[in-house]
Amino acid sequence: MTRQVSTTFVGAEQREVDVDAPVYASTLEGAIGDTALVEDLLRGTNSPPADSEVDHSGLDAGSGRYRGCPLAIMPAQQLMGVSATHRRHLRDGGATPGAWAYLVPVFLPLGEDRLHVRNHECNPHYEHRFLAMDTSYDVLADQLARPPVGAPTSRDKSAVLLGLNPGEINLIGMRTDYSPSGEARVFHGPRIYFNRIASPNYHPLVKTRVGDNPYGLLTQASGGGVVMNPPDLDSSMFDVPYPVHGYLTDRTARFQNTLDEYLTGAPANGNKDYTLEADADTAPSVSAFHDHAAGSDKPDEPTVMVPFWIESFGGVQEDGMFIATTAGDDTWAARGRKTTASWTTFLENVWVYLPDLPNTLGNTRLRLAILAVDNNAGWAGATTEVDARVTMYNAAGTPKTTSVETFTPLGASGNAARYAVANVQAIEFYRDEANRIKLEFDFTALHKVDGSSFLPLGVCLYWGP
Amino acid sequence: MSGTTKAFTAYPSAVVDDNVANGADGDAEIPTSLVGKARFLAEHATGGPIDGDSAPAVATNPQDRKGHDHCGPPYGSALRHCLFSTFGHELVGADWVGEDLYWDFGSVSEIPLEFDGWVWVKPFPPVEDTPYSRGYLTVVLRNLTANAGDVVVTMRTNDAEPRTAAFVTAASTAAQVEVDLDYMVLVPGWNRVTISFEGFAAAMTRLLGFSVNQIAKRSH
Repeated sequence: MTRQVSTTFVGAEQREVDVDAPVYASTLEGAIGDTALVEDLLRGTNSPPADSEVDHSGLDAGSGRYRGCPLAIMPAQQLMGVSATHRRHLRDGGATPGAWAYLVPVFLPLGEDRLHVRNHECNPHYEHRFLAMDTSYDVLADQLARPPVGAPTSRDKSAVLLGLNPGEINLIGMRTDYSPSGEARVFHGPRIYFNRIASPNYHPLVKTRVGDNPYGLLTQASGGGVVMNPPDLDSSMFDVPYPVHGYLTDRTARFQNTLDEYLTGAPANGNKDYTLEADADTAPSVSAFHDHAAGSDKPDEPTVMVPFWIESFGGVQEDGMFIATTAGDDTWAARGRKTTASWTTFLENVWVYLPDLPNTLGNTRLRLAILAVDNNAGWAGATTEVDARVTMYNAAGTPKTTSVETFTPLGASGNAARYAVANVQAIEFYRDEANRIKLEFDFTALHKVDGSSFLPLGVCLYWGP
Repeated sequence: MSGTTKAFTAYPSAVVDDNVANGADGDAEIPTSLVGKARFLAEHATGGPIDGDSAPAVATNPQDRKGHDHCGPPYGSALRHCLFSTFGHELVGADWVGEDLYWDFGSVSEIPLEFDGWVWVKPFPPVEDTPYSRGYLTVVLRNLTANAGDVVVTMRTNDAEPRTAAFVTAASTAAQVEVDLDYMVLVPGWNRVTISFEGFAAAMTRLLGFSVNQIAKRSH
C-alpha cells in the first residue's frame, strides 16, 4: 500500500468544486493528501522535512511561526508585606549611580526577538534605563525611561526592547544611572513580558454547540484512551478511471474531523462531545490532543521552546558590590556568600507547574540558567570555581537526580569578567506536575572566601536546546 | 498557481456521514467542504498562508496572529505552566549575608499578609471555563509551632468576587507543606491580583513562597 500524502500543499481551485463542476477522484486526492501532510507535520510521523514540522520556531514557512509564548513572566516580587509600611521593593542605594535594580537571564524561543519591560515606581520623577545584553555583556538594547515633560503623574514606565537574540539567553535589566536629588529611589513591581496584545481584531472561531452529537461519531477512535488513529488511504484509490465513491468521501471526512479535534482541542463542529479521549477524566497520563508532549503514544511529536519562569534575587551595583550593606526589609539587595566553602541551600521553595514534556529528547530539554557576579577582580578565567546544582521535587518531597553545571564568565576583562552564567542542562523533572525547585551552589577551594565575593542575581527556567 | 483562488471554508462544518456515504447526492458542498477543510487545517496548524503568495484565510487568534497558539480550544490545547511566583529563602547557618525571604503570620488579630500586583496573562479565547481563564494558587508553608493552625487565603482578581480558601497546617515544625488551593478568575491581558493570607489560630505559620499556575490537568 502506498499512503496518499502530499509533499506540499495541493488544494483545489474553486472551479473544481463549484456547483455543476464535475468532481473527479483527483479532486479528493489533493484533499486527503493535504490532510495526511498536516497530520505528519503536527505529529512528526512518516519523516516530514525537519524544517517543516510545526514546532513554532518561526524559522521556516509553515513551522507555526505565530505561536507566541504561553506565559507572562515577572522577575521580582511585587508589593508584599504585613502592613502598608512594610513592603519589599527595589532601591538603588542612594545617590550612587550604576546600580542594577535587577538583572536576570531570560531565554527567548526562536521566533521571538523583543520583550516589553515595565516598572512601577513610588516617585514619578525618577528616570532609569531598561537594558538588554547578550551573554558576552554586550548591549543589545538600551531604553531610557524618563518622566514626561510637565507635571508627570504616572508612576509606570515601560519600554520595548528590540533586537534581542532568539533561541538564546538574554540578560534583561533595569539600571539607575542618575540620581539628581541624592535620595534613595524606590521601585515596585518590575515586569517583563512578551508584548502581545489582547487583539481587538480577534474573530473567534465559532463552533456550533448543540444538545447532542447530531452527526454521530465522525472521528476514528480505537478504544479507551484514544489518541488519533486515522485511516490511511491507498494512493491507487485515486487513479483516474475510478469514480468518486462513498468510501473515499467518508474516510476523508472522518480523517479531517479527527485531525480537527487533535489540532484545535475542541470537538468537531456540530458535535457536543469529544470523540478523542484521554486515558482518564482527571490527571490523565496521556493527552489525546496536540500538545508537543512527545508522549508515549505520539513520540515523534515536535517539541517547542518554552520559557517557564524567571526570578530576580535582588539588585547589585554594576561593579558587583552590594547595593545595601545592611540587611533589612526595605531593601532589595542580592544576597551574597559569606564565609564557608561548602555548598548550601539558597533557593528551595519555588513551586511551579511544568507541562507534559519529556525529561530528555535529543538535545532539547529542561534547563535552568543562573546569573551571578563576583565583585573582586572577576572570576579566575574559565576555571571551575563554583557549581550550580538543581534538584526537582514533587509534592511528596521525592527528589529527582541533581544536575550540576559550572559557572562560566561572560568575558575575560572588565565587568564582563565579573559576571558569569551557569546553564544547567538536562534537568530531570516531574512532567505535568507541580515541581519544587531546589537550587544550591557548590564552592570549590579555588574560589575566594572574603565575605562578599559571590552574589546570585537571577534565574530562568526554560525548555530549549 | 496562485492560492487566492484555492477553495477554503472559514471554519468548515463537519461533514455528516449520510452525506458522504455511497448513494448520497452528489452535492457540490461535499468536495468544497473536504477541500476547504484541508486548507483550514493546514493554515490553522502552520500559521499560513499555505502556498506562499496568498493571504492567510484562517481566522485571527487572540494574540492577533494566525494559526493555533496553544491558548486553549479551538486554538490548540493549553500548556500547563507557571504564571508568576514568589520564592522563599531561609538562611542556612551563617553561609550567606543579606536578608531572609519569608513571611511569618498567624496569630490572632495579625494584620493579613497581602500581595498586590499586576500580572500579564496570555490572551485566550473568551469561552466560558477556557483553560487560561483560571489561575491556580499553590503555597509552600512551614508551621513554626507544635499546634495546628488555620490559614485563610482570599484571592481577588479585577472586579471578580473574592474567592476564599481555608486549610490547616500540620502540628509539626519540621514538615514543609505544599498546598494546591482554589483558583482565581483571570482575563486576557493585564490582571490586578490581590492575595491575602490570614491566620486564625495561635500557631505561627511561615510562608516560604507561592505561585499562581495555569491549567489544572493535562487534558482540558
